[in-house]
Amino acid sequence: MPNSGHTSDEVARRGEELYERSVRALVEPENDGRFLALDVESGDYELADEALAASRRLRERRPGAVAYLVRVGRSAAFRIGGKRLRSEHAPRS
Amino acid sequence: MAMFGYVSADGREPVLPLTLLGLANVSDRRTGVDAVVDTGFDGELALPPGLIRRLLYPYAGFTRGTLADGSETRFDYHDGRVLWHGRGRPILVLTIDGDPLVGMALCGFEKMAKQLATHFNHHYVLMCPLEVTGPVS
Repeated sequence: MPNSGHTSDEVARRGEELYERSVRALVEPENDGRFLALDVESGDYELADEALAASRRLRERRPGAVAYLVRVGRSAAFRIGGKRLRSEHAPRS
Repeated sequence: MAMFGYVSADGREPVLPLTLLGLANVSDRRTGVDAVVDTGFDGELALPPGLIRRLLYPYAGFTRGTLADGSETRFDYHDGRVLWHGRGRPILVLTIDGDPLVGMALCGFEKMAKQLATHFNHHYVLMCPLEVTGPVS
């Protein structure tokens, strides 16, 4: 997807499937709790203890890459307690 | 340099005024925003899309988050920068449809909770510089 500022459902699904199919088994459980930024096109990824670091390292290697940011070993990278929000692009499951 | 906030008029939410900075080589724009301190948010900052566009924060990708009701959803995220204790600090900004939220990855966990507990009844929020974590540029 071009760098449009918005992730299409198709790109998001591709990234999530790529992680499940090709990456998860390589990084779990040794890296549980760390952040992983996955380039949804090339499959390259970077691991770091901080989300920002993983994302930046991937962008240094792959400028313009669309990243899927994962917290290894968890289904979601972040917890958000806010009660008034939803994601930017509904609908989501 | 300490940062001062306030408790919202309804007495329920700690609010921290922040100065958002443009990214080097992208924009010199800056804007002030009042962000609710969300102790249930373990990221750094979450902003509505209009504000992200105004600051020209570059799109980085997407991630998943667990909401307070236990449901999961996708969020886009962008590279951003905030003035933090007097210095520009790069941050990861989630895109949300809601008011700006500042999370515990930016505020620090235990110390922030203690500060809030101490000062909530006095209707102000103090963020002391000891809680600066992560890279600073």
